[in-house]
Amino acid sequence: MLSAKAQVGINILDPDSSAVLQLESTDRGFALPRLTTTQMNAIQNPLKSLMVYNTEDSLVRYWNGDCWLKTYQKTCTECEFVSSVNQGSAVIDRTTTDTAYFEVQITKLNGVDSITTVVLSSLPNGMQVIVENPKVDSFGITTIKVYANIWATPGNYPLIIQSVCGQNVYFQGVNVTVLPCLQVNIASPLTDVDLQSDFSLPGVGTPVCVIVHVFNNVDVSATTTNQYAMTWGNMDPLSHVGLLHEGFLIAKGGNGAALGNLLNLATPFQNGLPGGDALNLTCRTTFDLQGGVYGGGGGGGAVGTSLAIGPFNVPIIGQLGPFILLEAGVTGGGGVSGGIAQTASSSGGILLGPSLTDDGTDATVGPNAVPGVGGVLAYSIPLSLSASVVTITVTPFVSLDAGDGGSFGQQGGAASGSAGATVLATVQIPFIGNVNLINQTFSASLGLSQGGAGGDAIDINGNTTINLITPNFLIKGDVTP
Amino acid sequence: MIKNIFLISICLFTVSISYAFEGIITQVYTDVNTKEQKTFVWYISNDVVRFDIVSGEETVTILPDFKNLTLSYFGNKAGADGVNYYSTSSISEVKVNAPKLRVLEQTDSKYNDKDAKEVKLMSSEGLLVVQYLNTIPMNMKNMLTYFAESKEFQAISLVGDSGFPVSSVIMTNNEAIYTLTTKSIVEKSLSESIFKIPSNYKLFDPSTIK
Repeated sequence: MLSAKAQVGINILDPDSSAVLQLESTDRGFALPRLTTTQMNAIQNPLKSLMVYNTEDSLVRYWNGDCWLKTYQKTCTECEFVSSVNQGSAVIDRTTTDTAYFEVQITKLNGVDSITTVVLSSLPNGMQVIVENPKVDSFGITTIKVYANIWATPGNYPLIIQSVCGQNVYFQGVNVTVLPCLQVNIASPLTDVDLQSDFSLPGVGTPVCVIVHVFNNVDVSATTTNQYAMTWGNMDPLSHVGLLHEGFLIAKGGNGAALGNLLNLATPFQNGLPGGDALNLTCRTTFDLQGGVYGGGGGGGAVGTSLAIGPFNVPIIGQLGPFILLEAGVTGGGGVSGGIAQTASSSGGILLGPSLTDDGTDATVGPNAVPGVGGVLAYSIPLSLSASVVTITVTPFVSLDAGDGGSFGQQGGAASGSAGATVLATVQIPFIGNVNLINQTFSASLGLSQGGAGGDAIDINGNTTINLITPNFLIKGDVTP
Repeated sequence: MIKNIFLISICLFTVSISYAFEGIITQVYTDVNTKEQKTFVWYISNDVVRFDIVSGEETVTILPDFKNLTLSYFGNKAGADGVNYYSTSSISEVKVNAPKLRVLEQTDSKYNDKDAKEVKLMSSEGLLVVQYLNTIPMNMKNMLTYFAESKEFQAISLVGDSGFPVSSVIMTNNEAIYTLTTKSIVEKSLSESIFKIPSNYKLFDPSTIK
């Protein structure tokens, strides 16, 4: 039935006065033309408000004069996109990985605005979310990195990934699980600590995550310069150690140098011994340094001499010497902590004069240790000999200063000194007077040694370190890569 | 008168020539307190002197060179290289502590039945008595150029005489603390080589002491 009015009604006799066309049915619908997008776009000069059913996206569209709008769109440039996450959950073990990755794939369907992705979360200290490539213009991947350091509290942590473009918002939920680490507490003083063996931790082949807590004012020290105060030992190279250090890691100081052979100064004196190293890493390590890590100080150098006279061919006397007027030696001080000074002992040779020695002192021990002081010796007492009418006066001048022990991580002091003698031979002739036969000054050779090298604070051995800040007043000694 | 004076002068000259001495005088010096004893051997040929100090097997020889004002000395001990070394010093390099003497009296005396002179002097150490023979007519003023520490030479010089001391003693509280006695006086002709440094001796170089 069709009514002949200015209005058209189908299945209705009296179309509403506001409607040009009014359709009514209880069992049929109104069918728009069904076009593909290509067909839709091929319509020439479409009338504003022209409507079609797009068979590709199954949406009704209408021509607003500029574009074919979807019915829920307001403008031609209104943003429309889809988003998906590659996984719903991830695990951080802090051994093989500290980071979980989520990839958000974004495809923009319409509009000119970029799609921005943010993460909504409530994470504990030590965890961090980083959104990489947060803006996608048309198509791309936004990467969500969730990082947990070794100090983060283990647990399950949900995150909401929110992508926004204009009025459109897309939410996706994911979950991150942070696994716990093993815990080693050092609450009382220890020596020569091997983390793996002393605390029965898994060795090579089983990477683990371990937190080592050295308590406040607790000393972990080395008993020899060949030992570390603390080493991770035979831990698997892929393990991860977190060192929460509030105490002191104290390497052994090098011993002061001993005297060489005073009667054979051509043989070099040995240098002061090098200080030991404090901390040895054998796997990846995260630091939280609140206490000291001290390499050992090197031992001080030693110095010695012997004043040998002659043989000289001298009138009246004939042969003067050879004899050893005196010998003198001083030993180096010990490096901190606990470096020992050696006893300066005489050669046991036959001497015309004295055997002079002075020992260095030992270094004290502990975090406030003081280096040993090198021996010091000065001597200049003349010695007179008489032969026939000749009086020989030998005035030695000996000034020896052994090296002091090194402070933590520092090289021991080098020894220094000078020595020699003035030989005055006077002929005392009866009836005539005195005449000088010899008035010569000569210098003597010294046996000298250098101080030992300072020990390292930390030997990294090529392992990755996290939060190791140098220079650092808490670290005394080299940090070797 | 002038002729007589000339003749007397010739006689005196002849006498002095006849008094010139050439030979060897051996003396013993003793420090009573330390009992140190040394033998002094004087080789004299007119005014040329060699002075040897002998102690045990050691001999130190002093050769004054009055012309060059130097003093050479050497011993009989060879060096390690088997060579004997000598040294020569300028007389100005000699440090002298000359004795201070005051003449008390000079008298005639006898020494081994020979006419001798004796002079008593006061020294810083005590009474010094020196006997000397004019028959060994050494010019003591010249000798003092080298032997300035000799009490005996100065004693003879102080009395303005020439001669050679043959005995000397210093008395303190009537006890001798120093004596010089003559063991022998042998007049003989001496070879010139006695007054020279042996040709195989080498000059000592102090710079070799290093």
